[in-house]
Amino acid sequence: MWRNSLYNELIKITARPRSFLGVAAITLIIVLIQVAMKMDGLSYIQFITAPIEQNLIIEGNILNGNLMTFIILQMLLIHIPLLVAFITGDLISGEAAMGTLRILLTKPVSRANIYWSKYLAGALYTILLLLWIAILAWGGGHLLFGTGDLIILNSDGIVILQAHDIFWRLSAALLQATLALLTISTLSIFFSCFADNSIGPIVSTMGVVILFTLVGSLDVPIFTYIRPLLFTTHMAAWRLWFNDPVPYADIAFSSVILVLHIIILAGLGLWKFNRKDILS
Amino acid sequence: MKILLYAITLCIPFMSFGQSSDEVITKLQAKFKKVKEYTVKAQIDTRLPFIKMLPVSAQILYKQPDVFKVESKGIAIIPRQGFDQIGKLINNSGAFTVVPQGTAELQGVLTQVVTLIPNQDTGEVLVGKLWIDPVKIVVLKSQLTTRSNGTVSADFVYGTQAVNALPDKITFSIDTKKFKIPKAMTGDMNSSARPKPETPSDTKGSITIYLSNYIVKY
Repeated sequence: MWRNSLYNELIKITARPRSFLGVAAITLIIVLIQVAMKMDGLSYIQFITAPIEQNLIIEGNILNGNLMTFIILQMLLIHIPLLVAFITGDLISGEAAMGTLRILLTKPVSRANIYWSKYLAGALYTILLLLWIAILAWGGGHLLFGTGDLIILNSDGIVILQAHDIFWRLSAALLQATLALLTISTLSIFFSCFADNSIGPIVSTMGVVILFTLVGSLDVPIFTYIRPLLFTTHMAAWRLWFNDPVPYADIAFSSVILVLHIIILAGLGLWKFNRKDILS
Repeated sequence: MKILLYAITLCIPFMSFGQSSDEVITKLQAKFKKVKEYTVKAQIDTRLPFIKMLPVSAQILYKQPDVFKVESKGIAIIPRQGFDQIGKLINNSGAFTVVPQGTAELQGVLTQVVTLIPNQDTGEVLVGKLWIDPVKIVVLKSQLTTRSNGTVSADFVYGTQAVNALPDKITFSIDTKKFKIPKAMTGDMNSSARPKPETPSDTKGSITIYLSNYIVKY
């Protein structure tokens, strides 16, 4: 039964133009970045490596497909939460607003079944969106720029990874990023359970992301203890896979925090959905 | 008699070489000029406090007078100054004044220390100091002070190509400023790590280049 429900939810997602608007926007952005970097990427790279090149010469193909993939992931993973929230924040509240939720719940299917099918459909959309970014960034990057070692700039130094050592890190980083984006989708579905309009959950999700990011970036002692517990602190944990050596303990901690957020928010969402009054 | 003994004792270091600093430099010039072109395989091991990378293989090509290329499939980092600078400086005989600085023991060899002061103050190299093995006529250590990059010192170890003054191993000691890039540029916005207090070791590093399989053209 849950397969039918999931199938129905996937049809609903694919039937909405906004689902493809996000994909189209991402495609356009990635292509634009790649073309711009192909035309004038070297000067951008030289601007960044200038502090190092005062004393040292960096030889080799710095601007390659691996670096392009990393740059694109870094740029887009800040904005993807909004695209994810556009779809997942609408899954329950959108139907409540249209009045179709009442009809849906008259089916001989438990509320939990409907909730989880919506949740899984949202998760699947999130995963596919991320996968599309990875394929486009990696494939297009390698096609246009070729392969090579990956130079990663951190605020306190640089890490240079050899070309053969990158693909497994990229795969692991994508899994880590999936976890972060699933937290966003879970949060927006959680808000969606409380709302009867589409905009509320999307705005609330982005509001929480912005608030937590601000709290996390403010170097105030009172936030020192809160910061590690905020999911936004661990949104960029995918970058840790590109450190050398890989800080497995930090990655595990970030993963635990994100999974805890997913479990708690999904549980609270289910609890609310089971008790939701359908008034529309 | 005593004065004569003192004079002899003082002159022993110079007498043991049997050649002046100018002669050593002239012989070194001849060695450098003898090699018109060479290619060599290099293994570059970069150990700088702000760079984490594995050793990289590369190919180095040198052609007189000033063609110097490093070709690498991966990303390689080499010092901006000090690699081919000695050759460039030495080959131009009228461009500097040789100032003898006495002797010093290095790698178990009693080297002749000379300072090279460029005759024109418009060049990149401000002053160069060389520790030269007077028997093999090779540079065992160099210390170049350049206009834009401060002082770079290098230690040389020779093998079969000592006859051509081409080293098997070069170790560059590099002083770097504390590397810092704004978080907005690097993207690690959520990194909550506090900056560590700077220590002297944060600004000192080395790049060691192992050279093998020379193909030399005279």
